Amino acid sequence: LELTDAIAMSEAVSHKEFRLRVLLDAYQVELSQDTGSSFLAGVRAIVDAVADSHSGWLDALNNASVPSVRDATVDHVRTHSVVALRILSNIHEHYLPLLHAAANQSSYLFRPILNRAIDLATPGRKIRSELVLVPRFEYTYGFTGLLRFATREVCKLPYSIQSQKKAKIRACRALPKVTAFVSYPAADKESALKLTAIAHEMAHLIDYIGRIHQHILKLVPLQFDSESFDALLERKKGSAQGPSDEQIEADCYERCRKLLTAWLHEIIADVIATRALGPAYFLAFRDFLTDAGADGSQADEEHPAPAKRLEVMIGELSDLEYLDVDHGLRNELRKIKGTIASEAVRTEYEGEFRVVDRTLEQQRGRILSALRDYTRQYSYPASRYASEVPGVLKKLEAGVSPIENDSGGANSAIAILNAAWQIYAIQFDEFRDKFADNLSREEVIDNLNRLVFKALEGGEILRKWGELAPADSEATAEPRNTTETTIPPILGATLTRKSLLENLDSGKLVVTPILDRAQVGEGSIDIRLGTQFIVNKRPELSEIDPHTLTPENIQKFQELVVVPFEDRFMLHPGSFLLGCTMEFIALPADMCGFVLSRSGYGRAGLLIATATYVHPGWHGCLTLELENLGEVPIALWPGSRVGQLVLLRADEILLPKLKAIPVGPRFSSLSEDPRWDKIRKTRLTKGDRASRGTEQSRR
Amino acid sequence: LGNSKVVRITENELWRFQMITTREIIPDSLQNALLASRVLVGIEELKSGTPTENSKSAITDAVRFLKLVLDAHQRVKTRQVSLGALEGSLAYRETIRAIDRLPDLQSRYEATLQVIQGLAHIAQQAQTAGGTNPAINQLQEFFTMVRDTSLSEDRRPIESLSMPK
Repeated sequence: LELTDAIAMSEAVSHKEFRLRVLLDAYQVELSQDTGSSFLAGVRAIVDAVADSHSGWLDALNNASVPSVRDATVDHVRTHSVVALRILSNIHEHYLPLLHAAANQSSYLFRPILNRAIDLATPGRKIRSELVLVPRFEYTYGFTGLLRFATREVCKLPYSIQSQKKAKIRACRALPKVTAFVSYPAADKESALKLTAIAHEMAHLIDYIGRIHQHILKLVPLQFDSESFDALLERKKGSAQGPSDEQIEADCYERCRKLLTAWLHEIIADVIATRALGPAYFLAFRDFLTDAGADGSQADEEHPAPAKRLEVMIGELSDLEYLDVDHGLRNELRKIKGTIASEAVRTEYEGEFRVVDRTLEQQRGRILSALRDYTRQYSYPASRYASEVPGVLKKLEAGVSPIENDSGGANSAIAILNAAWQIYAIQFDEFRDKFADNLSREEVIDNLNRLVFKALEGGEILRKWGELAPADSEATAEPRNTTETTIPPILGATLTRKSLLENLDSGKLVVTPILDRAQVGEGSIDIRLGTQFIVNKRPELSEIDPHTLTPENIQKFQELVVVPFEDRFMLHPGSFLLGCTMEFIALPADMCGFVLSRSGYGRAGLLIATATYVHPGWHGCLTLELENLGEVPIALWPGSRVGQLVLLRADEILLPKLKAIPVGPRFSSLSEDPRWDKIRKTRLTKGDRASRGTEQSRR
Repeated sequence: LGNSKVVRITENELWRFQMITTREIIPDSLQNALLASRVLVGIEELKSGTPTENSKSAITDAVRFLKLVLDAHQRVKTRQVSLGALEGSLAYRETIRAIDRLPDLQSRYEATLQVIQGLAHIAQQAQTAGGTNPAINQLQEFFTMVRDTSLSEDRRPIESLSMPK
């Protein structure tokens, strides 16, 4: 009976393994090369190892001739089956959601920035890694780091033949070392400001790759605070018929050890993120706590109390001189420091929390000092803030996406986020004043977020462009014939290259990013295709009738897709879609423009911009209407020069306040025209008359 | 950027991404259960005079396990937290639980530390002398309990229920 039982359980293992493999095969089809395929290979390796290990023990059972050995092997096969079934369940439960996330990975904007952050924070380490971003419904962030996960798991499995195990481990070592899953609240997907808090999860990744936690434990010998640990033991030993004293001691030690490890990881991540990002992370994290409704004095099994964490962070900002140098946020930070201090003092821990808190507190100075040494290379001190942020701030305040700095290079993501947070935290009223009164506070914040997202994307493209075409210098980019004469400011006159460059360089006219100066031609500026498109969902679309169209249902017929820079989108003959310019454009009060197709594309059959006029004072990325009039599909590559912007002198207008600033293509606003209401009513009246007429004639 | 696919995450799909809290697929407790189970096969092979590749490596692992537990014992008593503590403290806890449930084994020694030291000594002897030492039964008794204790550590609900009160 026992043998049958063991064999039956083995069959359950085989069956479960088979069903799991079917699912893994399905994911294989969906995964792209750089997001998840190595993770899947690792998962497969673990499943293979479970199966190999199990079948090895079944062979051992068949070969066991001594009855007592056979009985022991039967027992082992049964235990192995139970463990194998749980392992397979764990793969279902923990790994399949991650694979699903990897298979549905969007070209999310933060991804390249985060990848670059990993490179910057781990210089000299040639570590192959996969990063998967995962939106989640819970209002929380998360980090799951897997370091040589397949190797580690396979090592744990007992093989009856050791050579088989060694071969399997060798195969696993060929896979990327790090697989990281960073999750963020889906609710904040559109908010660059809020998503700044993701820096904490990235800091976990840096801790993980750099094994900073382990270095700290090596450098700083920790010993649980004896007074609080003894008090904890006394409390636990209270019941007469409970476990033995040694068991209680072992339990308490293990719980405190786990808690200390978890809290230390959090402190490390907080310090790394604060030092790398400066006030932007601190403010974003504080804002996140408010949004999450967190209790400042409440610790949990994985995190110290928020007030205590904020106290550590403000300490780091102070170390970076943010509380000394006047850079715009100093007074605000000083004020916050006072509030946090009073809240941190109120935090009282008990039990294991108290042991761990006191243990860490005793070595706090040494832990922080070691962390400062580790993070020195990528710290963002107040002096850098003071030199980089004001320029970015100026552009944001003017409603311009701060992609480029004054020398034509990309603004750093850190400077952009800090400037945005400075506006959001202390200068928001002034910023709001620049927008039309009918825009709500939330809509103005949305505009700020869009400007930031655009700047982050533009900056990344600018950097990528620099890497791809470093030889594309000013000299080679110069046009053939340059005239030195300045065109007098005649109304209606087209701006030529010299005048365009003067206006661009002075900041009066904004067209950014200019990937190379050859874009500025004799009488126009070439504009490039952006990364966002709106396509029609033909199966959903019966007709577009402005009479029945509403802002809500237009989005049912059209959807937004993102095509990454370096990737392409195929536009088939007769197809139509909306694109946008890669450049963020801001026209002054005395300039208007037209968008025209470039002849190269025009001759290939691509028509762009059917609505071509750009008003004086206009801000944002232009929506392009793209249609393939040719007979063969046309590949649309973001970054390609598809059109040209011709600019003319106009009568100076009194600039109105800013409205919604688009940084991607806009859905049709046909239905929002107030005149349609009149037409609708007219039609309704006509219809009523007609139906009344029919009724009368019947009578 | 840097992606070769045009993909969009729809709100409908988001539910699938919830509850991502994975750490290890083979937690320490299951690993200890497998080790103990394999040691038991190895001991039986030694006792029957038919040692195999497995019995040698299993007894070596048993010695390593008990040494890890001895190190952990030292750290628990001195309250030290070091890199080694990450590995051994769960094994130590499971060992203490197993010993607590084996009164016969406990009665042969004066204190828990001596039980662990005694077991480590028996395992080391088995490495050289095979299964001839009758004390090897203590090792068998101990690892049977470690296996069962470790398996019971990794409990999981078989159903989740969510409904209004």
